[in-house]
Amino acid sequence: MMLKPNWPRRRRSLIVLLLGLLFLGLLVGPSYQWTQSNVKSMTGRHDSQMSPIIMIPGSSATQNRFDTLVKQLNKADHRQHSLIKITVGTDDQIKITGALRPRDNEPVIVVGFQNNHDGYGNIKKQARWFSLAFKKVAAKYQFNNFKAIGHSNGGLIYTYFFEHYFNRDDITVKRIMTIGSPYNFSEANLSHKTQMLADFIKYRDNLPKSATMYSVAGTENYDSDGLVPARSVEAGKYVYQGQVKHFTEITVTGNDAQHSDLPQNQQIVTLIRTYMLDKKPSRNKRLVTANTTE
Amino acid sequence: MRISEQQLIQRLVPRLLRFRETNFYRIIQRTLILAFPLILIGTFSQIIQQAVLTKTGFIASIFHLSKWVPYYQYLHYPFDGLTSLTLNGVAVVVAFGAAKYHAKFNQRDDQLAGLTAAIALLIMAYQYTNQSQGSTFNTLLIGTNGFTGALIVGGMTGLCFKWFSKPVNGARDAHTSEILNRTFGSLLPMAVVLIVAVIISLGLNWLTVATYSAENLVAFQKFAMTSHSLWLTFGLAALTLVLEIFGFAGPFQERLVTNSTSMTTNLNYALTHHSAYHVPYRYTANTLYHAFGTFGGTGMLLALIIAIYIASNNHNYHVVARWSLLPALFNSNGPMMTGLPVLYNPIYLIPFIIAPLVNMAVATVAIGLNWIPPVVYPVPVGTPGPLIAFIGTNGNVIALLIGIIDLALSVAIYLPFMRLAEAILNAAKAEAGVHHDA
Repeated sequence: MMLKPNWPRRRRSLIVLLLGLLFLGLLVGPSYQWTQSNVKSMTGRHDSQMSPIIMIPGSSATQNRFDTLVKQLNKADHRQHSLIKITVGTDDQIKITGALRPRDNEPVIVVGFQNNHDGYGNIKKQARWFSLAFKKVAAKYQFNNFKAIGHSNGGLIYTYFFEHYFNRDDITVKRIMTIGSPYNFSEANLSHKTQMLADFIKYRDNLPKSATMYSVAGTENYDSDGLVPARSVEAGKYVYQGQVKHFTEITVTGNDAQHSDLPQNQQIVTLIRTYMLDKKPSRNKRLVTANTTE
Repeated sequence: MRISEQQLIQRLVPRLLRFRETNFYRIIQRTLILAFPLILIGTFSQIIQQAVLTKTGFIASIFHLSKWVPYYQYLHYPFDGLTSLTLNGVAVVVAFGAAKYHAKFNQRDDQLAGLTAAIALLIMAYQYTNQSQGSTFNTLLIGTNGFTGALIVGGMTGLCFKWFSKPVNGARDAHTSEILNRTFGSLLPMAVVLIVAVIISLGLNWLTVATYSAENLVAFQKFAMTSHSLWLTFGLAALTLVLEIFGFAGPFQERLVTNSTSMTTNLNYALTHHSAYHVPYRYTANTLYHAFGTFGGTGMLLALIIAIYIASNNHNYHVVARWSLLPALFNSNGPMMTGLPVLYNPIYLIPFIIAPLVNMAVATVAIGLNWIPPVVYPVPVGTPGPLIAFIGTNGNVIALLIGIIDLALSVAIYLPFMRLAEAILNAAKAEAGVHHDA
């Protein structure tokens, strides 16, 4: 007992259907453009050879903190790493100085903050500012991997950044090095965990699983670099160990092992060259490996 | 063909009509209609939130909204609240409705029964924590996935009221003392229901703590999304569809798992080789089920909407279908599921399962013959079904064509079942002797 079609009602629905199809049809063009440009930019990033070293200085230091270190690195490995400096203001403004040299795939990018004060509250803010700067350089230099170096509180900012802000699946952090970073602030006794360390441990699941991590401590005597207790640097293992791919602790002693001298310490410059920098391009490598048994 | 279809309909109508007239089905249907407006509002809010106001949403992506709309990053807040208190809490309304109608059929105090069921469900979904601040509810139980649980809770509450309280007369303007009397009469079933709810709640919390069941579900979905054997993908898709029409969350339910290893591997392969053909995992949930089997949400309900537009004579069908088109274009099937309803509807069980599987089969053949590459590139949230494969293949026109063919096939699959449902509606009307068409 089929009823006769009710044409006016159907006509209204068919108009809605036509509008819907028209809507879909109009979206085909923009969709095509979006996916083409999206895939193109993904391909660009995927094929990119760029692999910067991004450094964060400690508290009270500026974006110029690593000038000497970069000079020493450039001198030691005869490669002119560009030095790009970024300052993030308290109003989220980002200022970039320095430029990428042509054919340089491993620039050093230093991120400093207008508010560079100590304290957990400031570290949280600085981590957010760093995330803004990171987003900016990631868009500008189109890299798909990078290396992270943080001196003193810079390592803490990095840790907070990795746990709370870094969630990109198109960019990986290959290696992380923190130098004299006080994971438990000035507290030498590990049974007294600071709020920051407790938080770091709480969210450690978010740390990048594929990264190799080096925590470098300096000591002038048996238990401190003059400012940061060695046990506080060591507390980093409760955060990173078991979360990242490899976790290595290194203790540097001797000349220039005082906390503020660490970035200029010859030993640490060598560590950075060996562990953090990429190996030289393969055309040189072939010549080298032909003559050595390495 | 047409005649045999007619005969089949004639034969099936009386049986299904009898089922329709059971109290059980009536309660379910009225409850779903009660939830429908909330679902409709929640769905509209959700598509605005996901497709327009999320940076990775479909409309936001293709029109680069985050770049030029002022205060874009704050605009989603009102919709967050609206969505989570309508869609993600709708099962509370379902529990209320089920208990209310159950009590009403048995002449018990329906308001108190409804409220008791709603509170009982909230108690069961309550998550106990050690911290004193902030308590949360398990959204699996009170959101759209909690429909079936809520119906059971509501039904049980109604049953308790039937057992433990006396019938009341339905007089509207009852005297205050009579209302008080009625309230005290309902105290016993209320207490029973709430105590049982507390016990179940404690049991559920203990079970979650003891067995990590929430993580198990996520782990299972992760496994399902990662599986890449052809049979497993089809089997899990069928399982998902069966579970969803009965109101549960299936293994392929999208929202919980966003990224899987097989997707990442495929994408990296495609980016490295500058081509998406011959990626390692060609037949996954992502390349087949999500790309070709979910136009208009789970069960290809966009096809049912079109089927209604072109062939239905039922006024209500047309109204529901018109309201459901926009959500369905952005792959939300909530309004159709509850408005028609498709949920718990034995008539639509077959096309709900068959249509997506047929589409997946067409796509499998097309991928197998290398007519189209598998869907490997990112697709924004809320992309209209027929465009998913087109975007995910970096704008392959044949993929768009196959999407359209799939849609047409699904309309053809849904059409006879839609006619059957309509014939039953007409028979029901004829039986009731009401020729009412408004």
